[in-house]
Amino acid sequence: MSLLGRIRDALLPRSGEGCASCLHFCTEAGWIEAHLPGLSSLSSAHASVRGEDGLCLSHNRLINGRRRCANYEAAHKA
Amino acid sequence: MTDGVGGKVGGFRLKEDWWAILIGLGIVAVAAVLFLNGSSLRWLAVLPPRWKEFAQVTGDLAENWPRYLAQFAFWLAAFSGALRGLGYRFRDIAPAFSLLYLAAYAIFVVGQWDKAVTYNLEAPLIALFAGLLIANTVGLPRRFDAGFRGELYVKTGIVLLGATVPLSLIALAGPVAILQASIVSIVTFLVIFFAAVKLGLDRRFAATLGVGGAVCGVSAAIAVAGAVGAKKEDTPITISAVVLWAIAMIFILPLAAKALLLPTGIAGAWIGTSEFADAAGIAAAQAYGGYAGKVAGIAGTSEQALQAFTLMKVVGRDVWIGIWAVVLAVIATTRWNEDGEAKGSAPDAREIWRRFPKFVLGFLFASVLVSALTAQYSLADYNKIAVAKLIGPVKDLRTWTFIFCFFSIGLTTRLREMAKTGRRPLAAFSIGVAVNVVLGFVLSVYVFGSHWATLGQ
Repeated sequence: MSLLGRIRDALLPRSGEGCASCLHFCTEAGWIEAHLPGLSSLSSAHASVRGEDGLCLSHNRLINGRRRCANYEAAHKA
Repeated sequence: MTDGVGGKVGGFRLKEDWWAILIGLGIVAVAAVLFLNGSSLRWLAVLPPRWKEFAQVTGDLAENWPRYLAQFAFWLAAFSGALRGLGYRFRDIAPAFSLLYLAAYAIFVVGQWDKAVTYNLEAPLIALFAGLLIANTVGLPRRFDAGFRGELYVKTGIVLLGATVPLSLIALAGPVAILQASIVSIVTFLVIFFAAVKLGLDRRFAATLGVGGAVCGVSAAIAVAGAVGAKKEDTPITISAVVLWAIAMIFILPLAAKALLLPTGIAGAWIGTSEFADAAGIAAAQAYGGYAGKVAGIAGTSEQALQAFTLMKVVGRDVWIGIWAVVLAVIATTRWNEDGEAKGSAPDAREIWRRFPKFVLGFLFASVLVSALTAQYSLADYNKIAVAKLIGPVKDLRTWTFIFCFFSIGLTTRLREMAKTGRRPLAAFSIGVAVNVVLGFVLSVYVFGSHWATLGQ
């Protein structure tokens, strides 16, 4: 693979591999603020800097959700 | 807001930064249209008067109550529109904002007293202290937090601040701000990171703590925690360390600068380098700006303190958060992945834009708009016509948004609920604070002192 290709692969994850639709991935701003005490005091879960991050309840981590893991479970459709 | 459970994904909502731009630029645009038609936004931009006798305040209220009422209605409509767009309920926003406005008026009145500086009763400090006192004693209903959104208010204020900062000033002082801020940010990050690792903390946690002290406080901490995949409990600990130090610095930095009689531009640059959050820094810079012309020996204008702070903090530090996040995500994925598990985070170059603090665009656009409108004026006409009819009213409305912000910070900082930082994270962060404050002082006073002291002159 060319150098450019490797850089692109490292910096631009393929679509459809993220956590957005995972049962364990929570991005709702109010929920995040409730689970990260003090966040709304000097910042906000609604801020652009948060991007599309969320809390992964499976790994108990704040993640950007760009890489789906083996624990991925599709959320129930409404 | 509704509580979420696993799989709860927030639907598409305009981010808070965009709402701040809409409100801030909306005000600037209306002010510009009125100005071009020979009118002004002055009627709406009412402020309590400076006073010696309290009768001056009651006299002002008796005369101007329709203006205050109209202003309250305007702010309520603008901010409740934004907050509803963010998912909050009007029935929670309205009582909270009404209380906020009344308190802001009272704080403003105290701050306008001619003896206020003598007793250290600067409006930002009173707002913060009163909010902290209420939140940590009697408290207010939790649902009122819907209206106490300090971050929305400060971002709106920064967009409005753009209208008072000429584009030429940003072009001239911006590169110096970026240079100074970059030096301090990189050094502070490395100090906190290596101190934390030396003290035995996980590297993802160390990186989250590092950017919390080096870039833009809580906002940087959540951005980098997500980018590197930090443990959930690491973020609240970082938030506690940042909030603790940021609030302490709101009081410490202006008092230290006052003791040293630093010119307002230099103090603003120091605060911009050494404060951890935009809102906290603006409180400190505005408090210090209030000493201009009132404390013998402090040179400069109140605007210089705010302008230097904003250039340093917003232009010099905040805008780079996306790059910090992507670089640290690359390092975390390639160097810190000992157990071979990606843990849901991966580098993504698009995050440079996704995490970009968009309200900065509003700040720049407001500056461009007002600079274009006033380009043909001589300095004398600029001060006589443009400041009086265009920039002055925007500046006064900006001051309201900052008071809303400072009081909201106090009201939402519930010390009992903050995560306990633990000795090691607090020690690592505090070492970084010490380095940051000293380095920021040396650069602001000795290396770039003449630049900041004469900012905009």
